[in-house]
Amino acid sequence: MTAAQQAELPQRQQGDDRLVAIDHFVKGKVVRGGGTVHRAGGGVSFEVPALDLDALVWPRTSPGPAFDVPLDEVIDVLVATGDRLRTDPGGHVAEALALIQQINPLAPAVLERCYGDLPAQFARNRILDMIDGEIGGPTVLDGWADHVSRDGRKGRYRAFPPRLVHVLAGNGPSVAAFSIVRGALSKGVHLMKLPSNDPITATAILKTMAEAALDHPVTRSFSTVYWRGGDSRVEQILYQPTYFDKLVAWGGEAALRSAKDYIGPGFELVAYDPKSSISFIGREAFASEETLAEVADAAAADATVYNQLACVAARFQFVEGTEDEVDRYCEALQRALGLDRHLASAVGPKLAPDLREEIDALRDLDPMYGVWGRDDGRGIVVRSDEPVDFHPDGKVVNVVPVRDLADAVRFANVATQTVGVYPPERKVALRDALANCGVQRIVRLGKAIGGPAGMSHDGFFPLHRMVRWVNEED
Amino acid sequence: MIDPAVVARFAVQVPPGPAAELIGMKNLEDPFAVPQADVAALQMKAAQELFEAKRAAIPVLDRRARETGVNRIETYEDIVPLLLSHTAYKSYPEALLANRKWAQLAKWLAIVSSADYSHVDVDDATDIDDFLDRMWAAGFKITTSSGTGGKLSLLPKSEFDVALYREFQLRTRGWPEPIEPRNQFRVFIFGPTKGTYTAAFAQAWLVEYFAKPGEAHVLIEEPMRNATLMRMAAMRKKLIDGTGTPGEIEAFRQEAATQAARLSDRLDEMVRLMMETRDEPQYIVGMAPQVFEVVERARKLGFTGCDFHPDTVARAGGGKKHAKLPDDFAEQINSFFGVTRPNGVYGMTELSWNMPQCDAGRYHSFPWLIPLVLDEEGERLAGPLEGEVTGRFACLDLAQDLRWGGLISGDRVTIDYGCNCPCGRKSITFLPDITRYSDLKGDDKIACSGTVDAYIRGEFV
Repeated sequence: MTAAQQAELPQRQQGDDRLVAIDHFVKGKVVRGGGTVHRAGGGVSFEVPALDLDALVWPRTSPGPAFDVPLDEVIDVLVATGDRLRTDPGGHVAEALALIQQINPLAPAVLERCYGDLPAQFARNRILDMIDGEIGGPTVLDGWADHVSRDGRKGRYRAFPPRLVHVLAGNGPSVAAFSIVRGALSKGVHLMKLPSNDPITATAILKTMAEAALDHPVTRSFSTVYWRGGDSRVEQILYQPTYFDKLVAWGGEAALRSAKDYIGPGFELVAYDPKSSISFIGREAFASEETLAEVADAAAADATVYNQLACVAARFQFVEGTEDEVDRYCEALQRALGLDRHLASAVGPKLAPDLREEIDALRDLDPMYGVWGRDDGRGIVVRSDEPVDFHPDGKVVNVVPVRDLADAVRFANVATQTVGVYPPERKVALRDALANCGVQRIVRLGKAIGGPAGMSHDGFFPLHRMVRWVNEED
Repeated sequence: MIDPAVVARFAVQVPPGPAAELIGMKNLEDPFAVPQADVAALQMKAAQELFEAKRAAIPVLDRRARETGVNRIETYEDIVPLLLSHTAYKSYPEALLANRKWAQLAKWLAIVSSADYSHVDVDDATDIDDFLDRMWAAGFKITTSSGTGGKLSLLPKSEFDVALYREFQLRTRGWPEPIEPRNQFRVFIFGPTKGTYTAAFAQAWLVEYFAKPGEAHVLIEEPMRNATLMRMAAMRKKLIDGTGTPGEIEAFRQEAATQAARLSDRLDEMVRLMMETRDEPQYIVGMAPQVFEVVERARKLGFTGCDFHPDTVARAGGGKKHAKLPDDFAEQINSFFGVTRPNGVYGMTELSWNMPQCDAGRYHSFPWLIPLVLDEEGERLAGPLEGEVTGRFACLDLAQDLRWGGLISGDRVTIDYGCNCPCGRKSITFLPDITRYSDLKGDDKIACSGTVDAYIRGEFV
């Protein structure tokens, strides 16, 4: 968004929320018109159309619109959608960007870059990698695959199109793209419950898809609507096996808590669990000043993904080094946190008040604790002998010196998703021990975001988990 | 009105200081009726002078002033950047407690307060309770409260702070018709009376000054140990790092079950005694969930209530506190005990005094409190402080001896700055509907990131 456009936005007024109108997308059609108003926080509210629950289900009495569409055709629709997201002749992307910049806490420039990344999620090779890696190839998606057991008995199996409710996360726009790509490849029907921090992106992608493939069964297989997570008037009715097979949840503790009440036979939970991430930095980082600067830069890149709102963003970093070395690292890291990056802004959000007070208390407890940086959004590094008891957030990193990286393995736990390691050669020696503690991804430091397509996500292969596996046996 | 001789008996001498005149108004016949118009200018002047004095003595305040560039208090807006969040008093690193770094913990206390604790011998304290005992013995009344996640708040208070609070407890019970402390009640306390919780020592005064000799009946006789909470936190940590065994969880559960059974027996015993002697004046207090339980148990025994001695006082404090209570729990309690007028107080352990409820149901402020209303985020005033304003309660309490009294709470309140309470008093009032922001529904922002807290069941015991 240009400065001029930004200036046109109504300014925030005390105690008076700005109102943004949001469209829904239901089975291929855009639904407009006010109904209910919800708060997005940060002085913004949004108004969404009233829900017509009957329109949000696909009766089991007939197959979903895309159940029998050949996979190649689905892929063509997705690729065409990606092309159209890039050129945006319908203006949906630009419109959505202007809206999300008012609602989402990420900086406008970061959101613009995130939107610039959306078309790449629809690239043909990426989609093919996903199909190969996540479900073993196209055969099971397009029909029945043969199976023969060692005793000669035969059968056939299919990744049958599922009926899914998705609870999308809104901390980064790519979540909407992932979910739509995988949803389309599954050929199933998809009701997407939007989050209050991004009730925009998924709908914009589907509007674009609807123009890329007019009245196509794939677009009729999607609906994107907002209701407040946990609203039993909606969830008690929709969350049942009569309508849906699984709930695919991207996080949100409240959403998961309420989901628990509805999970039962025939209605399954597929959870991308809420995660956090860490970094392991070996003594090799101190080989030279240049190396130290490079390592600090890579570590900062990992720590600042979506200004640290992402699950892959590192919050704790374990560093092998002397007291003096670790302090030099902290200083370099703090400088690197304050740089503009593809998915982070030089100046991030202000700290939450309780976090600010906890950090301030540590400033006065030197030499036990070291603190670099101020509450100016440019990043803060806290050095402590043991991990701090608060949750580092908003470009805050806790650096913990360790004698050996192996000693830091015990700090990984079932909530740890990604561990970035420097130098990368040391990943191999650490990976089994980390996996044993609960870690799901071990990556080269600096590469927390953007791994190869087709690998597992949060400990499972999403496409494989989303579909319904059905057998036909002799 | 309360006998002036009684006021004199408990009135604490106010030391000289910027707010002495305002605090001195406690000796008025009705400290909650002082018209705001009479004190507004005095409050602002005291706020500035106090800020200047405290800034030199409290590092956390000085840091805040330097960082926000606020060097003078002339308006309500000036106070806002200087307010500490309600979590400031648990901003110490938990590792200090776990690793028994008591000297460092004392150093932290000195960051959030104006006292010097370096001469208190705490080095070989065995646990947090021992540490606190030594502080108390040295004249530093560090009070505690437990928040979510089990981390203790530690609030440094002086002898004066405690004496001032005691005066509130002894002089204002029953306000606007205060009850004189004449050891005239059979007292039933459904909670503890020993420990570093403010509520515990408030109840101890109730026993000392209001209970007939031998007629104080207390649910929890043993002192509340903070170390118990610490043990829970340590167990939680073991569950996170994978070293906690099923046997340890079982032992915790067993201990909790034994404790619960013992309390349950004691509760029954107290309920029976309470009902048997209900034709005598009783003073019944407890947190709302406990008092509600008392009512339910009494009903199970076949009592319908409404037949207590007319002088009986029954009070249920603290609100729901996340407990599963019916929406009309307060009405049920009041109707059982025959409570006919509002008798609650609004306050928090961080405040010098609390605010009692008038017949109109509103809570009345006191002269040395500057109540503010902030936006939900707690960043700025919710609007001009005129008429009724709703938002996050914050305040500057001018009577804190060791701490900076500037505080942001977790509560959503509506404050009437127009001072138009139907009861006729011209002080600032809080409307009855007060909620914790944490009890209001979440914001439905969904993120893929999260902490290990989501993986550990809150009530593992």
